[in-house]
Amino acid sequence: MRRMAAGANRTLLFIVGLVCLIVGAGAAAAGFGFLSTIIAGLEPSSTLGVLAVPFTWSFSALVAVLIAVVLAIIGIWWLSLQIPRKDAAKPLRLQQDARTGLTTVTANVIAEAVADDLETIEGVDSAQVIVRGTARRPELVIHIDVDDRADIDAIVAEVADRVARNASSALGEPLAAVGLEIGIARTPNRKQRSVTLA
Amino acid sequence: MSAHLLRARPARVVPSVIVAVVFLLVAVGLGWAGIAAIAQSGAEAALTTTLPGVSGAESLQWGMPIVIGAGIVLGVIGLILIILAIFPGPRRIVGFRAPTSEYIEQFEVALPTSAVSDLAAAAADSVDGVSRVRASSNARSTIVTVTTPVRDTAAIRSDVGQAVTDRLAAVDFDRQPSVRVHAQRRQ
Repeated sequence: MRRMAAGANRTLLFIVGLVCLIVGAGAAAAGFGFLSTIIAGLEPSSTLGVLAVPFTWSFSALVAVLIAVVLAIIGIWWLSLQIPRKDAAKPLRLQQDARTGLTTVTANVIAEAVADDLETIEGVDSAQVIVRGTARRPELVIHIDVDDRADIDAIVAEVADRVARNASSALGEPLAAVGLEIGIARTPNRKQRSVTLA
Repeated sequence: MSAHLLRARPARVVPSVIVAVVFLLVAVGLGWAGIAAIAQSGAEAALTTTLPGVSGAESLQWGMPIVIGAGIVLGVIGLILIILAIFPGPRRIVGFRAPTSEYIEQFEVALPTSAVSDLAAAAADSVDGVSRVRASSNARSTIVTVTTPVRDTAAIRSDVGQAVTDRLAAVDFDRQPSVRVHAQRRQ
């Protein structure tokens, strides 16, 4: 339910893949002699010494350090993108007119209230909620873990009706969007459950 | 408002982490070689000061199998990365027919495929004669493998298939996953 950098990952993988493919295919093509007609002197029998020339240039060590810094920045930035983001809403301003007073509520407060409301539904084991959007166009992203024998249709109907009504009346606006992901609560052993008979 | 609140396709985290770590390793190696060369011979130093092995490239020819092989391996890695970037990958969630609500403009409900597997495994586990259950699912189908001490597994397989099908049919999926059952006899 948290956001991942899927678009950035795919773009960067495509760029790196394309560079690897071009360099790899170029080396193989040179080895098979396909490039000798395009680039004079690039025969299969010619050596790779030309690739070592830049390493002998003055200041090449300094350039290597600069390239290393750029690669390290890209690597660390790319790794940091892999941390899932909540992207929760900024504090919601609920007042109609700022001259008469301010009413601000953090998204976490609403999220916890909705999660508590969800956990009262029969069959729901736990709930996590993220509030996104604005006070005028609120969005809820919900993950609930339900018991494996729960009536999932009834739970979804209750979320659509009672929980959405409560959240919408708390925010004063209908919910612009709700994403509900349903997981199954892990129980250590399904066959060993205790029941209390009244 | 986002088009989809629930992520349906893989975000390609594992290949991205691998490539990012390779970037960092190359950066560490290159940085170390550059700094060591500068420390030895000053800012004008050439990289061959600390990497004398580079001149060994003179002994390699483009037509040598090791060079062609390295080129092919690099090209294949590039092709794999491009495929991972372009192809959407398997769906990780199964859509649910969300009811309409007067309080919600856009309502999206889904179960991860792992949840479908858990539901199927729980249903299979409730059948008499089943000792162990394993289930795996994708967006279209669920495969349940049960272990039973019973000699004739046909009846158990049929009962498990019925129990799992009934359980999944009780959930209002956009598209009902098909169910396949394998039974193994083990004491």
